[in-house]
Amino acid sequence: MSRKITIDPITRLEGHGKIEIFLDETGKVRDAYWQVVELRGFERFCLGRPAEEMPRIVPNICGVCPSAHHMAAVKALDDLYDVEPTPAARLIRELEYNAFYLEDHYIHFFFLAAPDFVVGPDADPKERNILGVIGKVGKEIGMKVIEVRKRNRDIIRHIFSKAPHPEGGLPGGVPRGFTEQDRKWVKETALFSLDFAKFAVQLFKDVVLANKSYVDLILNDAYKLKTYYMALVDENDKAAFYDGQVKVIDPEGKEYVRFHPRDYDRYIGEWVEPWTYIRLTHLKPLGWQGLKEGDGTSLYRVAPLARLNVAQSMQTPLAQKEAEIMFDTLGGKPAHHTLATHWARLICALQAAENNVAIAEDPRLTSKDIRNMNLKLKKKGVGCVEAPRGTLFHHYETDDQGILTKVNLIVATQNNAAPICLSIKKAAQEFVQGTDVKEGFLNRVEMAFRAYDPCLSCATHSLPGAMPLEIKIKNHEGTVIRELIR
Amino acid sequence: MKILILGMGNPILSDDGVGLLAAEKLRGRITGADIASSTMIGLSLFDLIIGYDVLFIIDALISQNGHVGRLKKIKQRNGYGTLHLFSSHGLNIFDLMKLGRRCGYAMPHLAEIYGIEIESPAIFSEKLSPALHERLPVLVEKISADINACLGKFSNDTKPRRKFSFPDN
Repeated sequence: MSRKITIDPITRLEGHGKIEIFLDETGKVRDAYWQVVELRGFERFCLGRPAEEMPRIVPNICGVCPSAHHMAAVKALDDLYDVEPTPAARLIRELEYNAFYLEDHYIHFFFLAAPDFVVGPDADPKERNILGVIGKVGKEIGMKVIEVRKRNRDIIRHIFSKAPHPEGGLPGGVPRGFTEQDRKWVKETALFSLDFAKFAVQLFKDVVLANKSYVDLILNDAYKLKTYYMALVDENDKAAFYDGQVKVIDPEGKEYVRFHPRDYDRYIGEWVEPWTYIRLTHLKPLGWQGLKEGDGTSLYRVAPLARLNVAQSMQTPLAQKEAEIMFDTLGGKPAHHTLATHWARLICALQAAENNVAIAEDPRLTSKDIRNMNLKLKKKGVGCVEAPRGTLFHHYETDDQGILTKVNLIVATQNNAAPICLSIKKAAQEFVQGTDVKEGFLNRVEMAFRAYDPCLSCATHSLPGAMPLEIKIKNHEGTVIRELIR
Repeated sequence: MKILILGMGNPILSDDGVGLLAAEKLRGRITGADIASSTMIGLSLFDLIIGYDVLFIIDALISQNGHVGRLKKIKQRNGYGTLHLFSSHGLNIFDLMKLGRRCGYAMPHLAEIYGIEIESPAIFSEKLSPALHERLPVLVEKISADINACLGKFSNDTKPRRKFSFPDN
């Protein structure tokens, strides 16, 4: 008789999803699906509203990465109103976006990833959290995480009036600039963040890479997935977060396509399956090939590992040096090791920190020329950024009055949704055998998707609560034959 | 004694934002209290709550067999979780307090968490459902009375250490 294991809801994941693992009659994993059980509706909610309201509305779509949606909305308005931000405004936006990267990436690493790698994947779930991490590495690290986050949020608040949710984005510029007096504290924050970024990368080496069992886990084939990769790159083919061209490489690392974000719908297809509310994305010219990796796949992945795989190099020297160490350890480029996403995340944060030190010293930072008012409504606009979780597209269309008639969002978790299913299946095949599964093994299955830092609030454009982990084991008729609750 | 009343929720998800509205309606009704709102969760709350002595939180709640508009006191031990205080993407409110204390921050005394039962957290609207809209004034009265009673007991203690509980209604 076949069996079904359900992990519902998933812990340390924003939103409400569940994992179903189907066993065959011998107790081996036959299939696995990551289901999203909430209905989206955000895009319809926006229709009929003035487009310029979007930077105020979209940060509310979720409580995790409001700055990414805010910036994508602002850039979509730039395109919609056919206006370029002034050089100073662009610089200030990049400062804010890097500040956001720093706070977001460190939350993920220390709160969501480190419990698995510092406390341990088999540790008691009661200890496998940030408090357990601090217990292992000392409270000073916890204080530094809180401090680096607070300081960078002060930058966000200064520019866009309000944190945690920035709301003041404007087409063609920013609502508030900096004075020479401000430069002092911005520079202090940038240097403090850079010190912390260097420390975080070193911590990863000291705690994770120095532990053979963790390195083995990262290199385990169960956590490898051969797909295409997508990310933004700048004009020099370096990893870009705020702006750039969308570049896609194939599973062997060769460039497949490079396009302007405005052309996203020529290359990104959305596919509907009856078992999930997420529209699964794929490379449109290749057609939907199903949940398949390797040869013949049309799936691509986004997020930090994709950024490092896609770009020829990082924008900053320290980040580049660390990227080279990472690829040497993983056996070359592209790296398909999903758990290395955590490492790549710290390298992306390092680039953000280095770039903000440079911006803090840039003479243009204190320019008063922070708004280009030469707005011309062209009724269609696309904005794109590298959200911390991967490439994010906002597409708006309006009538002659600038009232929204179409809104389409393609969010990072949506880009990764189909690969997440595959990653879960591979991990389950390695770590689950029959219904007698230990909690730590199920956590190792969860680690497969946690690396993507998926956020269902965005992906379904709905809202979730969060609850403890429940594991249900069902037979093929849906009868629960075993239930575990954390 | 610095007092904060923090409303939590999402203003574009109908009843989910009831905590924000309730907190706003308490403005001026609790002597000496600051009112704040947050659509964020987990560690983001640090920025808002550090520096206060006493903290009251109002949030939306969904529980089994609950009816819309019911007011529930949330305790760590009673197993209820409101919609924004128990993020899987960060910390729940109780762990947040522990983390802050463990890192040496002077965390406020979490005097009470009020959970207001709602029907659905997934309806996009800037208005409450009619049932909850009608119930809101009563809820605000109850919460106001509770907070004032609680603060009355704290009045001579600048560092309250004891939680005062009230019967669930």
